[in-house]
Amino acid sequence: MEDKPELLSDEQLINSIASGDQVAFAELVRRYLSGLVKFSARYTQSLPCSEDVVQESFLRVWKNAGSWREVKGTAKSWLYKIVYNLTMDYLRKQQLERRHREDVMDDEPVDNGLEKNMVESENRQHLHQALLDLPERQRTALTLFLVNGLSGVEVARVLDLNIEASDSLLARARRNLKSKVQEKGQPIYDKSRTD
Amino acid sequence: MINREQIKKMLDCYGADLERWPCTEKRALAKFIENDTKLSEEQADIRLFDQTVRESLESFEPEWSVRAENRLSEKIINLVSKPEDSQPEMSWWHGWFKLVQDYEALRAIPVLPVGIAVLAFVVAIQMGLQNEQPLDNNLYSTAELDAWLIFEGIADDPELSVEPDLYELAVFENEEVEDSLEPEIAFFL
Repeated sequence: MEDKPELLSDEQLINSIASGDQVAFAELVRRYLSGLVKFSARYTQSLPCSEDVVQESFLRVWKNAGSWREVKGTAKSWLYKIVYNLTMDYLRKQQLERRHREDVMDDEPVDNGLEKNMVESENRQHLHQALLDLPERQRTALTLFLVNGLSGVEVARVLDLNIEASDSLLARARRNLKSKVQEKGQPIYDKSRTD
Repeated sequence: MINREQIKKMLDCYGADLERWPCTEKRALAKFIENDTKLSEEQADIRLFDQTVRESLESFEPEWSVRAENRLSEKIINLVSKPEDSQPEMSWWHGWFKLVQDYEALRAIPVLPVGIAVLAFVVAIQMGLQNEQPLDNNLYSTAELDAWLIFEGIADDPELSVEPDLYELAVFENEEVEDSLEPEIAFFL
């Protein structure tokens, strides 16, 4: 590869990966690993499981980089789509296993290690709960847009929607979130904030 | 011409940051909002809302150490360095796309006429091969044998062609050549 990998765009990296360039692959991993693991952990509630999901996703990127075409969306939306789909597969499997276990034995309390580590202020917790109460697709659209920095078009690609449907999903997510918080009579934010 | 309703819709979908709106003419939009007190208030409101939601989502993000990140990163990169994973699966068209990207002259090739010519060539070869005499002891259907007999002039008339009974045909098509086959068939194997 002629250019330094850190100077290349995601799309150029994918094209180099398709030719077997391991340096380009390492650069792509460096760029997205952390964001993808955290994105997946929002659903799995377990970092080790999300690490497995993301590892599998990157192996798929390595094997299928040659089949990526720009018309299918940006490289970033492709990556997030793979991780999102594998995370959903993982959750479906977990749900089946849990149901099976419940048939066999009594419920055991689920150890949610993540939540213990979280800094929780009351308002944030309240807002976060409202976010968790949103339908899964609305929550994903809002998270991808606000936290992971994907554009509207990229959100549409990840969720397999056309752009109009994705726009309407984003708008519905905002509206629902506001009304869920207001239902409980708490202010969403402090209007005196200046930052 | 952009109107108030459209801007409100954009605010609802994409938030207050105009940089993230999928449109050009952002400067004109900013000016439009600036001159409309109600829209400006709504924009400020949505900006605060987005910021709070973002902070909330981020504060509930799992703590993932740099050490864990480095460990996983190293693991993934090592996995693709193994010989069995060292080459990505190449699509058959990927090589062609790469060639076209590298050599501009290839773009001048008229794809459709060349494609038709190649297809015609392949079909012609295929038809030629079908009329060849069988070279080995592969199994042939009666229809193929009939066609070959007529083609070779051994049987001028389709009425004279081989007509084994159905039971023998089944044996003939599924098993090795057996003594019980009719002599006409055995002759051509």
